[in-house]
Amino acid sequence: MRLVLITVNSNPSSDELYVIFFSATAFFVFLAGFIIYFIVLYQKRQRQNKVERESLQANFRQEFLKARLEIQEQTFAHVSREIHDNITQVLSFVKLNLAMMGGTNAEQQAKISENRDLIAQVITDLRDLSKSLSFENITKQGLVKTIEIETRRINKSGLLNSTLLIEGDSYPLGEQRELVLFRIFQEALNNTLKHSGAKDLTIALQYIPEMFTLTLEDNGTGFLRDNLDDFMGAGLKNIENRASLIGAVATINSEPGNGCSIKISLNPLEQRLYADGNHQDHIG
Amino acid sequence: MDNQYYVYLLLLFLISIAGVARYKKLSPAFKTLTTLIIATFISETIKKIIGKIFHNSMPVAHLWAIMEYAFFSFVYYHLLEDRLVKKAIIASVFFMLLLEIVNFSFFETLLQFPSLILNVSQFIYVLYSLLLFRQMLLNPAEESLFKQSVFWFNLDMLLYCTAMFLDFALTDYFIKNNLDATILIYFSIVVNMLFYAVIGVSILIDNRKYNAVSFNNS
Repeated sequence: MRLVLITVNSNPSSDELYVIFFSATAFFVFLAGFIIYFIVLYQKRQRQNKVERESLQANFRQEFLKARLEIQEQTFAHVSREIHDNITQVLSFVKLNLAMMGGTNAEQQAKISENRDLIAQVITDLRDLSKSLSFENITKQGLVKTIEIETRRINKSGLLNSTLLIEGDSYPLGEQRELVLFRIFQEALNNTLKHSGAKDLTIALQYIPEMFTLTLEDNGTGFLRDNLDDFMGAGLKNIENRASLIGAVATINSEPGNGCSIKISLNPLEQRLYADGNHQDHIG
Repeated sequence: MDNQYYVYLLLLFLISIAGVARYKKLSPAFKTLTTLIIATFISETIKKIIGKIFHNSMPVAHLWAIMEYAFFSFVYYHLLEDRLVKKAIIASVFFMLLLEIVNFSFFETLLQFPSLILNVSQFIYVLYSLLLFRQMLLNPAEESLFKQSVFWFNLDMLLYCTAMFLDFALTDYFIKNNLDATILIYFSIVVNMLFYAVIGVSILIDNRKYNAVSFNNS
């Protein structure tokens, strides 16, 4: 700001100087204390802000995921209803029409009969699909029963040889949790069918009082997570996000040539706003 | 003393160069600060030349005192966010101009050192500084405090103003009591050098983008 040049040649110091120097020192000590206090307080505020920001981000992620799941469930429900109320009805009508066709020779009758069987098969498959999409059906039948049906359906299709193991006495996990767990199961099953090239799949449900685990293990080609493309990586991330939404932990292990294992661990006693149905936007 | 003055001028020159080199990257407050440093360098050079020719550079000091206040006020105008405070800052510049007119008309003539204006300015700078510290506490940025140009500049202002206020008071006391004030003069020289050195550091670390983010976060 400025340099002031003053030259004074004068007497030696007086006793008052001590008071002045002590006052000046005290003032600077106070100033130093203020600065240290400011720095400490500022860093404390920074930490608080960081925690709050992370909490807000986590809440936002949860809300976003919840909204996505709700939209997905509504879409599934709509597709399920359409299959059940429209497509299968039309197919039943076609099957009936075929049965009423007369004035044909034996060869044509055999063809018609064969087509009727095929339509009956399509109707059954569509009804199964409709049930697996409908959350009402899942919540009504429970997780174990729904997974059993799904496993049977897969085995029947011949795409995969799946084995279902249930350990311990099953207990209800709550509608929300069971629905999310079933969607995770479907996502994992879909991944196995589409990408793994596996022949065998073992599904294990383990019920112990303070821990529930759902494990899917296949003997497919396996993968390294870092090498996955965005689509596959997003599918696995989706499984982890869904698990976290109900307070579960998803552990995904895979190595090239050693298949893949997906394990969902859930403490049923842990309360979650979304999973325990206290939320105003609760599915269903 | 001449050598110290030249070192002081060299320091101002170097900070001016650094400020000009980084001008585009600087936030508006630090752009104003760079302009202030350049103006200080010019003013101090003129003061020295006039002092050598006329043996009194106080008219320049009077003019510079008010200009410097306006510059520092505009730096804080950019840094402080409260609208009322911003209005008060603008008003204070006009108040200081009025005070300066009253000062050289009735108290300290143009040939005397403008200590009144400088003391009032320093008191107001301390207020600005405390207000900015408060604002920083209310809206902490993500970046480490020690990497924030605003923190170093504001700390520098607080320490400089309080130290110089004390130095002025003591020098006055020493002169009145016929005591040797050499140590206080050296103290003021060291404080001045440190003040500009820290301003130089704050100009070097300032970043327009970062400041925009941290202020927007608030």
